[in-house]
Amino acid sequence: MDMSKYKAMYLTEAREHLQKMSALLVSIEADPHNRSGIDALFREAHSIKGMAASMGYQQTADLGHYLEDFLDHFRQQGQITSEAIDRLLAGVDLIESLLEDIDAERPERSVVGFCSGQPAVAATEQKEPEPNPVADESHLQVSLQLHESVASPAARLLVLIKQLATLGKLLNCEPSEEMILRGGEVRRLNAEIQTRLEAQEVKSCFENYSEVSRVNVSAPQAKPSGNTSVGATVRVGTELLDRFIGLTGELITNRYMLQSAAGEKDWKGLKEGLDRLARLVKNLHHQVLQVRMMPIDSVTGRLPRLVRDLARKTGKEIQFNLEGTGIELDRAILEELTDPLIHMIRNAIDHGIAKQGTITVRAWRQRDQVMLQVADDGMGMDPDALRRHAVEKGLISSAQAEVMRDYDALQLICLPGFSTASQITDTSGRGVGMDVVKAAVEKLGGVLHIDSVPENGTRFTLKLPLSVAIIKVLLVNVDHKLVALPITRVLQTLEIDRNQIQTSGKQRVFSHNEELLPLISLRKILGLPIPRASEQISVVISEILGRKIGLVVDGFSGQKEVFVQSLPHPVDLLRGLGGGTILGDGRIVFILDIQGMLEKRRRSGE
Amino acid sequence: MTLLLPFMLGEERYALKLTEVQEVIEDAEQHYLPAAPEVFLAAVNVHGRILPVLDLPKLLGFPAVPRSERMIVLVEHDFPLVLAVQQLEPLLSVDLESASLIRNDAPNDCIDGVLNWQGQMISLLDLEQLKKRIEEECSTPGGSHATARTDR
Amino acid sequence: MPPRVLIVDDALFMRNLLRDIFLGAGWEIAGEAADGQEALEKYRELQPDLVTMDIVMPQRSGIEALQDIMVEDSEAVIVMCSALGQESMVMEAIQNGAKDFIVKPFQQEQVVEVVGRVLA
Repeated sequence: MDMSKYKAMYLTEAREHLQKMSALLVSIEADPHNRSGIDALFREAHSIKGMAASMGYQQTADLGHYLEDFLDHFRQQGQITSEAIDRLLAGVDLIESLLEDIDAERPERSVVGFCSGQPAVAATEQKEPEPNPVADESHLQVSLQLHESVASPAARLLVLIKQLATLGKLLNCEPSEEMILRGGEVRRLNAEIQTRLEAQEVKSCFENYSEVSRVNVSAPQAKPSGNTSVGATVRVGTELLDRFIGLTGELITNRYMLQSAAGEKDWKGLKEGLDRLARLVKNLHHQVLQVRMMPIDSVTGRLPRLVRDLARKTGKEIQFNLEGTGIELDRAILEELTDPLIHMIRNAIDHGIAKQGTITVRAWRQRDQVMLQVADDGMGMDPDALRRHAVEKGLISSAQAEVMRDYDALQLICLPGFSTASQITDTSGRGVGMDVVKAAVEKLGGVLHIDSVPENGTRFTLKLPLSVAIIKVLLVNVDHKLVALPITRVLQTLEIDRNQIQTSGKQRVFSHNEELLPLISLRKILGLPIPRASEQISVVISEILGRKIGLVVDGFSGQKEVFVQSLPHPVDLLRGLGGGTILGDGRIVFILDIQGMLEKRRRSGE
Repeated sequence: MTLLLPFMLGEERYALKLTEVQEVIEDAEQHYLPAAPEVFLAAVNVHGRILPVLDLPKLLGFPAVPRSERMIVLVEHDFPLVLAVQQLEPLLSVDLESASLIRNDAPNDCIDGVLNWQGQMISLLDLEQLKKRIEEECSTPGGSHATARTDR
Repeated sequence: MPPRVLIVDDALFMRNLLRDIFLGAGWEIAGEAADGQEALEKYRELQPDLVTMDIVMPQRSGIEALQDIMVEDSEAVIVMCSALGQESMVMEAIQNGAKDFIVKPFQQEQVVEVVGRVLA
């Protein structure tokens, strides 16, 4: 039986079990007599063992078995020692490494050393395998993704390419050096190198680049079954699947209804059928969004371990609480939240809490929004100190500082450049990277609130939409302004010569693939001034009410994936606007619904 | 006592209750809002939320007055909107119970009533009416442009 | 022995900031230079392990100074200091042998990470 198609599912599930194990271990460490916790831990180890064994991942299964045995002993005693917890955490790390091996299509590393009782640290040693001097050169596929917030991404990719070239022979690279030198917004690199190094070693070379958000190194030869790349998987409840099947059935019925109404030219029947279709599609859309919802647990799960490790490193005593982890959010939002959350927790530990204290991460629903809060009971921030600091840095004038309310003074830490090296030690140096957190939250259409009481702690509260719509758009220029068209509405973009334009009655047309297409000026639709046509004319071919048209724009500004914000009432009533988005540089761009705009023009008789 | 945020349109003084105001923003960068009626000036980014800017002078029939760089953000969950006005004035604390308030019955001029405060006439803006006016503007194709002001 | 750094920047403020960051990270300051011409002279004299090089400077620019130094010592480890909007100049510098770059406004973590990386 071909098990490869289950691999992605296995990896996802195994990682969830590992995350639970980490969280359990951290809580048991605080309460070593937590018998039910130890029992739960035992069950997690058992699950991993079972899954790995059925997939034929022998090393993982052996390690799972070993951990199970190891735990059984403490289960009988009803308590656990802190040495044992260290060892179990090391075991969790080792399983994590094994999963990475499996993910990268490598043979699993050996767990014999760990299981034969070498003291604790076995896992970290295992993590960086010795370079194998007899290894032949092999081909490796490397893909690197830069963080959204990285400054000068093209230059950064260039540095990374140079770095890759030092590891072996660079066979190919997408985008190429020449393309990068032309500049632009590239944040992703796919390359193939010929090297003596193992995938893991190549990967580790890029792990100390904080600018890189994701590194993937794998052997390029694809399995005959095709898709070896492991995309994200989602588990869907059977109840939801049943609803999809039900909806599909209704859609099929609806189609027959529409077909017969159309055949009989039954306008009333057609109208009813279309209304029904609109309802069904809306329902389907809603259900599909449901599939994208995931509990917050999936990002907060790793936090207890993070806090524990950071607390150890800084020598502070920190109690960590999680509340409301069952609250659900769109996967896309959750993915974007991982880094900001870690950032805020680091800040709380580094700057908020002096020696000992509590950090609480809680989530709750508030109408159609989700609130996510990181709170500490540490030193808090002093608004006056923040005001003074911002004035010193020249970020605000002293007159502005004087009239600024305390609440607004706290938000100053989100200004880029508020915090730099020399101020990291005092409490006002809290803003390391808070500008990045704020930007990430706002990009999702959320809001970041900061409140703090000196000596009493600080709270970062994120107000987030339940779901986001991410669409790909084509950005076009018109009269020095930027607007966006959904890429799904764009059939093609091209430049035509002015002399290719003909007139047919009042309508300007041009010939495209032996078809005469009407030309419509976007400036005219938007009521903007129309200059004399230039020699070269930029045209977007789109389809409106089943008919192709050429939309004349001033120029193209590339494609982008954007988070769409719905517009507040009553602007949502406007025909022709499909929402707005805030670009990385803060510009607001609206997404045009050309069909809606043309219908509006027709009805208003223009 | 009720706190009022007064502002000028032409020679006339208008006001909002402070409870209707979320905040006042200054020098917000204005972005192009396409396909909108002329009573909308732009869109601005208020804490990550895209909000339209309503040209209040134009809507209420003062097309020629200058627009202040300080703008009023209305409380979000009631009516998320930014108002451009001619000039903001310092807050007033007024006892609405005892002040002589002349209720306004004219249905369409977005005024709730006129307050006589120490000899000054202050028109209180009626947000419900304002909202209806904007809904009309937004649902009419092309937008019915602001009508000329009728004298009261 | 801690690595020795030569700081090249025409602004005293930036030199002081970088100096604080490097000293804070336990590195040693070999010296400072305020323009591209002085950078080459100091490099010859001090033979530092690392140079941080501002791009826009009077006399000789950072890129010219980089070329001067690379001609004399092709193993030189030079990190460019750029501002937003100078990406094409950064790329030119990288093509000419700069090992990495940092972008103003500097954050201590960023500087320490980049410099630590190129010295590794």
